[in-house]
Amino acid sequence: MEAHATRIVVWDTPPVVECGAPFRVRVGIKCAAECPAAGRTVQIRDAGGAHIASAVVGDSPWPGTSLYSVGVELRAPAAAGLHAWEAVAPELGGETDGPAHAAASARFQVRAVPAPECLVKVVAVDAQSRAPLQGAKVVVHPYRAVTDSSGVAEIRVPKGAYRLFVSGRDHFPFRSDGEIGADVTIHAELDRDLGPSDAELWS
Amino acid sequence: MAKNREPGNDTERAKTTAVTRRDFVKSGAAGLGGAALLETGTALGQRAGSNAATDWDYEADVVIAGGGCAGLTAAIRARDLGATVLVVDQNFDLGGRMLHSGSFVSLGGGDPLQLRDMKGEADKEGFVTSPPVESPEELDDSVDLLFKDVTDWSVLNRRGETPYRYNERELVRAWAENCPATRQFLMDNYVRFGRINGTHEGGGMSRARGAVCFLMLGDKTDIRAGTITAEDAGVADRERTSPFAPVQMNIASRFVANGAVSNGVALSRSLEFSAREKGVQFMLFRKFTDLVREQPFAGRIVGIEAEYSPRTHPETGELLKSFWQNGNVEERREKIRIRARRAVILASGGHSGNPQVRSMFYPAMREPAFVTSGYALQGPNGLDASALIAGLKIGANLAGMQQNLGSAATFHLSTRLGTRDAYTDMMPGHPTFGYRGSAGVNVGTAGFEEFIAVNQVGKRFFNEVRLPRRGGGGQFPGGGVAPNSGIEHKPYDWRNCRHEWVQKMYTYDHGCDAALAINEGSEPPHYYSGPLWAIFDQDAVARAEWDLRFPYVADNGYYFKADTIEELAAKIEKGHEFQRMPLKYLAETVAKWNGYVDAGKDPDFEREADAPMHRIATPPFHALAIMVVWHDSYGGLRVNGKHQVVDMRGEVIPGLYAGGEAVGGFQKHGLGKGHVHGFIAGTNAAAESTNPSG
Repeated sequence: MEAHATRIVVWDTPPVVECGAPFRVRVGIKCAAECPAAGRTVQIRDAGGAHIASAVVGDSPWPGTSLYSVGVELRAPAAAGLHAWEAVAPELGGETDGPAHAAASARFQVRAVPAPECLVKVVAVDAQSRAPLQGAKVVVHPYRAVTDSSGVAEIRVPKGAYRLFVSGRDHFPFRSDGEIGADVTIHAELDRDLGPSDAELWS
Repeated sequence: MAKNREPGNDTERAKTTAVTRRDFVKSGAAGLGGAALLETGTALGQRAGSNAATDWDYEADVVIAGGGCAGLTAAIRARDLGATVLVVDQNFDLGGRMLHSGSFVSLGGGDPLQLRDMKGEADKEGFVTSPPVESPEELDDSVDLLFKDVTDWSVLNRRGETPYRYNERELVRAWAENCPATRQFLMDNYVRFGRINGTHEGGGMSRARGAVCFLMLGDKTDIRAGTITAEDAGVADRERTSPFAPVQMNIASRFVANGAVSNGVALSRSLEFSAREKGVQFMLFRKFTDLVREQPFAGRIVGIEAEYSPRTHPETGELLKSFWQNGNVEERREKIRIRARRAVILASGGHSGNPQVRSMFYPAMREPAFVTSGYALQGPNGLDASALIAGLKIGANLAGMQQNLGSAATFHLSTRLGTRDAYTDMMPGHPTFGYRGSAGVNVGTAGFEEFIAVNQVGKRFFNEVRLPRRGGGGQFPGGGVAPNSGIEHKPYDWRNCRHEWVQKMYTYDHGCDAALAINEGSEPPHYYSGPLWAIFDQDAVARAEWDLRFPYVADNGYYFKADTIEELAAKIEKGHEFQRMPLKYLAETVAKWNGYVDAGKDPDFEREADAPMHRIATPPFHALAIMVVWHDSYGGLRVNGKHQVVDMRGEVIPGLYAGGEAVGGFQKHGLGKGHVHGFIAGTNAAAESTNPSG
């Protein structure tokens, strides 16, 4: 019998991890033929193929999917930079009561960063109403945050040149480029994406 | 549900149609020869076997192909002037695209609405309590200024297009002269307008000329009283509309009053009510196919041929029924011939629903995956170029064929995803909802940040956040497309198109064109570009708060969800009718994209310059269809100022008129064009002497 294909997905990888700090990713697997994947092992390997960690996926699928998943505890490399790692679901030999399952792998990247030096505080408001924008995305690549109910988000970054984006639901992105050398507060006024009205569209 | 489904009781109809003319005739039963002429008081004569050469099945003074914006207006106008009128329409209900439009009617030239708002007056019924939006100066208009505006050679929009330069001068002069009378005509036929608010694309740069139509929410739907129930208006339930209103009406408190609702329903149903009340006759499910001319390329137009074009309910399979039936002529024969004693008016719309015809303007739009706006309501025969095709067969000339490429409203990429009929939404409750299956999710322009857009092989093709941007403009108040806007605009001033200025204001991104480009999956001979897909993950759903459930999305081939990207690709290939091949690069594209996100750079399309980029990593994964919509039709039959169709020698084709999107030579978006066309055509068609032949 031909081995069933295995699917593997990695998510919840933090956008940045301080060098040497612990973090967690979630790895989910499923059988392409929808055999339950509970109890299967997943492994994490570094860029050189060295084994870093192993874990066993849980008994119930991830909400909204048929992926069986597990949170895998990891530690960021000591060297700053972008590190390509791999999640692997090893081959599962056929048993008397079930088919074999092929191996599968998925690459993901871990960005290890030095300790932050500056606090970037962003206050996001609607440009017209001045109302605070909750849930706006704040990206100071590679750092990310989301504004709270006051429209405020805080990100800690090392000194350097950055591009800031703030984008909210139904709003066009606010962009600012510059050097960050000390704590700073940035007021981001976002224009609403009104789109064409029905009258404009239709007549 | 409306109680008042039958406009006009019998007494009232008798009053409006009781003129006993010899030409109001009706034969005996179909198939009997030598029909006796009977004065029945009906506005329609049915004849059978009356002429061996032509063998007419029906006859009327004025026969109109199409019951939309131009056709309904022409029908009422001709009927007002004493003609019997028969309208044939391919659909099950009247109104064409006017019915699900925004009802923004841009006229001007000192029309009665401009004068009303200049004086700060309300409408005669006192519904309009909102103050005027535009200043008296912005409403101070004239026919001459309007004419100058719509022939203003000096205006270029942000795509470098020239919305007025190539307009047919005789045609738009007649249009400008008839705008004031048409506004009054519409208001005399139950159409109620809110405040003038700006001007529609193609309606001129110098003055405010457009307003939406409204009805007032009330206990019953009563066109005479100007009221509509919340249920009929589709505003009682956020996710349900009605057979009366294909598209839910809008709250119109800003431009009318609290309790007012607006859109094409207020316009179309009001005109339809008036037409039925006045005795216009309608033959629905009847697709106009051909003109009958005395000789193939000479002589008078004496009638039309039309085919049975039934539409059934997508779930029950039952024949669809028009909301009102009063005045309908039931006829189910496959093909019939209808004699026009005075004239034929072609008002059956444009060519946006015919991929073969529209491809003469843009070969990429031969792609059948992309339909015209209002596809579900109009059905497969909507906007099918029937007038253009029939006109060419009898020697008609064409006009403005290049103008399709001069408007942002012609074809564009919609921000409404996940539905085939992406130009506007439609909720369950209208009988044609099933033909689209989902309302779609309007993500707005800003929402394009949340996904990658891929083509039929699963490759990205453009910077997503620039994809839906449209470079429209060129109407009052200006929007930066000319150095001076609004009342400061100077028509015919060369400085408006000084090259330094045009270079400065040009902002078009060409994303739609990239979407339609040849890709690895494009096969000869047509090289279809194929469907387009927005690919995103569950985190994007959470960020954007998209409501991915029925009625916004459905299992209709325009939305897919899967645990992995590979499975998503497989589902799209299997489930979408125009996905002709595997999205073989999709998994690779997503992996590459996630790498770009991590790196903070998109070397393919430089998206990092415009918006944040987000990983596509968290299951489940989603795909929403992105649609290119061909909306307007510019380019069509050439007509003169009377709306008589002109042949290729420049001579009038006797007995043939045309209006609306069937006509070329006037690059004006929307209803303001069609109504005036219908008004002029109806006026002149009714004045024709009775056709001696046929």
